Amino acid sequence: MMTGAFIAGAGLFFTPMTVLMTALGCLLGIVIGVLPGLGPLMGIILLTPLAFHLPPVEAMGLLIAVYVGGSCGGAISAILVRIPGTPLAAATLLDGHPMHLKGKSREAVGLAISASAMGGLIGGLFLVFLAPLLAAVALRFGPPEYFALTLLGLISIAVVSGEETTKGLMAGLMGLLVATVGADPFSSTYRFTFGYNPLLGGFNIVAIVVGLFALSEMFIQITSGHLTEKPQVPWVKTSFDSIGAALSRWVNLLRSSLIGTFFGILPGAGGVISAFTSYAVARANSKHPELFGTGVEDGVIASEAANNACCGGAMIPTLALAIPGDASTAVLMGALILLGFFPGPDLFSKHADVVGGIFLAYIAANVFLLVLGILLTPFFVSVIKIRKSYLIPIVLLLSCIGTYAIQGSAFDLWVMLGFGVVGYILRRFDYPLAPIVIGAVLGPICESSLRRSLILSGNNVDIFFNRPISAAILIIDIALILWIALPRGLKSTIRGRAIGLMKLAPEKGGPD
Amino acid sequence: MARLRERRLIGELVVSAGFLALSLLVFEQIVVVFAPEGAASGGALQNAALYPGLLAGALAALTLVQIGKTLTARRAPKIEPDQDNGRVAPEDAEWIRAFICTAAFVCYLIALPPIGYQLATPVLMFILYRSLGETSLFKVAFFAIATSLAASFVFERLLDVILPVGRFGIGY
Repeated sequence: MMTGAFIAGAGLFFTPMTVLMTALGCLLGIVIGVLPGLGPLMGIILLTPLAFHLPPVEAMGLLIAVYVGGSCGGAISAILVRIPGTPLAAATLLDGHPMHLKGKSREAVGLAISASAMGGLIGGLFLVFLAPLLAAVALRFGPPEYFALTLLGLISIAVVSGEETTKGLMAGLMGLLVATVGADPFSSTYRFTFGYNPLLGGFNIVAIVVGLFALSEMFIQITSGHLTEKPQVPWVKTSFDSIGAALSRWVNLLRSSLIGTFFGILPGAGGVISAFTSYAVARANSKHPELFGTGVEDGVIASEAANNACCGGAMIPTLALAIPGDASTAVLMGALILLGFFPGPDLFSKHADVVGGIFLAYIAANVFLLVLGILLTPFFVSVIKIRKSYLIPIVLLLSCIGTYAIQGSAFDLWVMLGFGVVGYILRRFDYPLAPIVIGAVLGPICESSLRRSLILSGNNVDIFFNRPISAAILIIDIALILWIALPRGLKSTIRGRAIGLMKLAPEKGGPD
Repeated sequence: MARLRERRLIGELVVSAGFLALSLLVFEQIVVVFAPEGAASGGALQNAALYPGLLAGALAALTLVQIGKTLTARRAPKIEPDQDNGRVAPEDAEWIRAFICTAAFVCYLIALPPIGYQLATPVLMFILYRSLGETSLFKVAFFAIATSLAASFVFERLLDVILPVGRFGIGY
């Protein structure tokens, strides 16, 4: 199945335009990642309207490459100006910036790019092998299993939204409710349209996402100040020697990539958690843990390999089960749906060529990351100097045209503005935004699975508990809800004991 | 700082009230719109209100939990300083700047359909560059026109997107 998908996908991927779009996506992704405040998610959001006008594999190549490049770009600004371009690079800062202060900027940036690309490739191997297997298993899933899975995706994301799990769940429910606006998929009823015709088709997902993330970020950047400041950065040129330097620490590289892939597969865990976890594991397994934080190469490799491997991991449930692991993959999934392909087992059985093309685009994006990242480092470093006073209006303009371009609708621009205001208010009060997007993307699947299940069972809810897979997933859902309901003190005690057990493990195993 | 915390507490309650209002709106629509159409009862096939009703119920319950958590917290929520500038709240000048940008954007959205992209966008960009702190008039005017034209070239010429032409019919 996999070989056939690759062969079929090769025909779609190996065209000059698709390869060019993937390279362009990688380049734009790194640029967007380097700029503080923007990141892979923003890159995907800004380029989705452009991708909408391209053939499917070209479009997905562009967006996936932005995802890959954007996940690495933040490391450059973290190392050189101590401002992580994206939260993903926060762990890279711990050793990357001290390396820069020691005069090892060239080595630090080179290692970050090499480790990211190789971590991404290892994550890609898992994507290529695990996604078709998971899709094959999911062929046995019916509506009750899908309903339980969509709930699992949403609850998991709420659970990892820090201490504010209730707020995460509320945001997820808001996303699900937003998705109910418009025509009911089962009857001829129009819901929550208030007699207003532009609402008959529901809210445009691009307008929601651009508003929530891009517009709210612009508000935050404007109120943060420092708009005309120009950071002072040195001229940095890296070389391909950094590939050898990263490979010489192959145990750390491999282990961090595996951690990243694992956290990527888990809904909601994401790149930030994976980067900090692999950093902590690398430190615990080092012969000189006391040197971590003072500028050691292993610190940079651990965080960068993990956060890019996470991209491959996050795409596994997105493509195979239609359950996105984070906001970036939710938008990627939304883009794939806009292009006319619904993720899940059917995508693998009916459109194996598109799946193969997506796999090849992901692998090629990591190769481009390595080559372009190293060759064009001076250009990416110079991007850090762009002032926010120029950047903010350009991002706003691209957000506007992009949102308008999808349906040619001025109403979508008002929706974007409305969600921008909502997103800003929610962010000010620590409500996570990712559950809203995931809820809005998963909403139609969740509703149709629930109602189809009830129709199949003659409106009997036992159907969810009579089927073993559905029952098992629902038990996990219930366990997660119980975890949320636990008092904070008890949760801290359990977490403390778990961390204590994890610390004992490396002492027994010894350093590598 | 104590005043800021108090304001934060009130803000938390206002946001929770917004969520509660959203769930109440769903119930209001179910009673006022869905029920007379016969779409608020029956099996899963006909009952268009089933799923939104469940969601609104869950949202209302969680919002009440959140309000309870906010009110019973021993202290008002802690205010974390901004990571970029170490401040706990934006300064007045920044609020004014954000207001000007938002107002300019709202005017742009109103003006876009009647006067079209090619006339409205350079004006918006000019106002945004100026209000975000760029002082050189010539530079700002040049960038405002250049970015507007570059964006319309990419979308209109390369991607065949038709941007609003307005009453004057100005397009690429």
